[in-house]
Amino acid sequence: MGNIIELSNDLLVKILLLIPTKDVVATSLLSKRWRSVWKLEYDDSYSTTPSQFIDKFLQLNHAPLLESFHLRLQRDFSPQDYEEWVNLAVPRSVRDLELRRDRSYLSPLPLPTSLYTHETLAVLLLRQALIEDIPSTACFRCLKTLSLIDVIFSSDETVARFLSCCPVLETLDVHRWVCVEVKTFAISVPSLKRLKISSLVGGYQDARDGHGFVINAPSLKYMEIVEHFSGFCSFVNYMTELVEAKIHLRHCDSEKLLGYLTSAKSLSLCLKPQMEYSYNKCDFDQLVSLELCVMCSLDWLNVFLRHSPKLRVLILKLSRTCSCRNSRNVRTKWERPSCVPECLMLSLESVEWVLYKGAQEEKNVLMYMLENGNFLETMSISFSVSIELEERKRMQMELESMPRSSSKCQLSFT
Amino acid sequence: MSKKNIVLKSSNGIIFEVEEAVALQSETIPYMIEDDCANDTIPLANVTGDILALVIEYCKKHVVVADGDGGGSSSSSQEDLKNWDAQFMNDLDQSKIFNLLLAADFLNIKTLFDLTCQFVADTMIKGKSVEEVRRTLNIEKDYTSEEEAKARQENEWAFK
Repeated sequence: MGNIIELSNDLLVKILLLIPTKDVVATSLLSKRWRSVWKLEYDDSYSTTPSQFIDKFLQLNHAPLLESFHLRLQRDFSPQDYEEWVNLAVPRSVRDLELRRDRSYLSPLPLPTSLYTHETLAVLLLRQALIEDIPSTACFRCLKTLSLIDVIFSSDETVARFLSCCPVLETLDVHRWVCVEVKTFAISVPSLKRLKISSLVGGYQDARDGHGFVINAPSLKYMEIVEHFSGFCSFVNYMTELVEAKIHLRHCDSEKLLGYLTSAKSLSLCLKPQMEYSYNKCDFDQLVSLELCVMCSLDWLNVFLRHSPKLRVLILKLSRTCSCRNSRNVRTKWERPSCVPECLMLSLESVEWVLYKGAQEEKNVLMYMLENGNFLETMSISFSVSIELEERKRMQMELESMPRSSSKCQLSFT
Repeated sequence: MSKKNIVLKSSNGIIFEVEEAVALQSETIPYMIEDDCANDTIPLANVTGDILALVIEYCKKHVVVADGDGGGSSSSSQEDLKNWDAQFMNDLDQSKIFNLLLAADFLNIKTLFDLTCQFVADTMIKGKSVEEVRRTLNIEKDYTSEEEAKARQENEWAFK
């Protein structure tokens, strides 16, 4: 206990930031682990002369190749400084470039133009950058991973144009606030395998009807969309390779959306409540694991039970940070299905209820599962913290006394 | 105004009761209080009793006294505090220092975290040769001589 070995690389980097550059670089000779710790992870909040440090570093470093270059600026620098640093780094064939302004009150900096023709770039992270004019020669030929955090685009067209410069992009992470300049954020990237879109706000927000996403990414395997104000999110293609999706969308047409997710093996959903019981699209015939938000999506449960013949794991969750908590139109009605769904009779093995409160609706769902789940092995219930110990015991006994169709079904409580 | 106390429990089960103002120098603790309002003891699974005692000693010394006489932040007391910090760190062995650093990070006590990082940087790495740093920090050299030569060559620019 109490050796430097136990410190994470992040902590080691923080210590290295307090040491003159020469000594820092010398640590690369300590051992194999230290060879990779030393990178340029320069955080300007730690020094009084950041721009001198960066200038000095870039001039001192005559290495022909610079693997990664991360600039995290927390103060206001001139766009000229910024451009100059990028210009010094770009010719060194940087593969991993990070340009962030970590203070939201600073105005976004325009992306230096030299970047657009940077052939070796494989990983790019931009935070609070401004993207306006994209040169006609722009091409990120090797770019595989792109993160756009609070990046301001000047128009719908700029977004489309920027992404069209990334012919081999596989991972895209977009985090944005509502930006008036861009209404339709179009992601048309045939090579894309992983997509994450997030824009979280606390409380309920009305939909911005004219704002949303259009996604044309037929090779997607993993998708996470947690988005609280877009009015629409539409897909151009079926994603036949989709494996896993997490979708939290408050305002979009849920039925249309689900039609595009039918090949997924694993889904986590927090959706706009169903308006009518009319889902008549394809089965989710690959679906093995499903997580549903009981706050807003409980009335989707029967649809999934009916249309997911291979479902093995079901998680019903009342998320504490659930964004739908304040949503309007929330319905948590549940009715027993008219006939027992196939997955209950043949495949469902595990049911988990996260933050169980013991309401009649919740009890009815669990009772039905126990009664009809022929292959049920585990049912785990974690109680909401607001439930008193006495009350817990009572609920526990109540659940344990319910009739079970599967003799090997174990109940567990936390 | 009555002073509220907070009860902290170390990973090995030792209980410490401290004034709220002392505990709230940690930015992690308020979240733990909110998360678990039913229970008034805050369990700290990553911090052992001897380290928690040091953390509390530090926080007690650095608590901003809001007694209203306005004499709390004169330059001499700043100077005193600095000397106290230096003495505090000097009295610790290396194992305690790293555990303290981890605790300060986990509990998010910025001034203590900065203090321990600075101490490690200044006394264990800065201005020392590679061999000295290795010895001080008990780092095992796992490079073969070829690998070491290669690593040296890679960063030659800094060794001139």
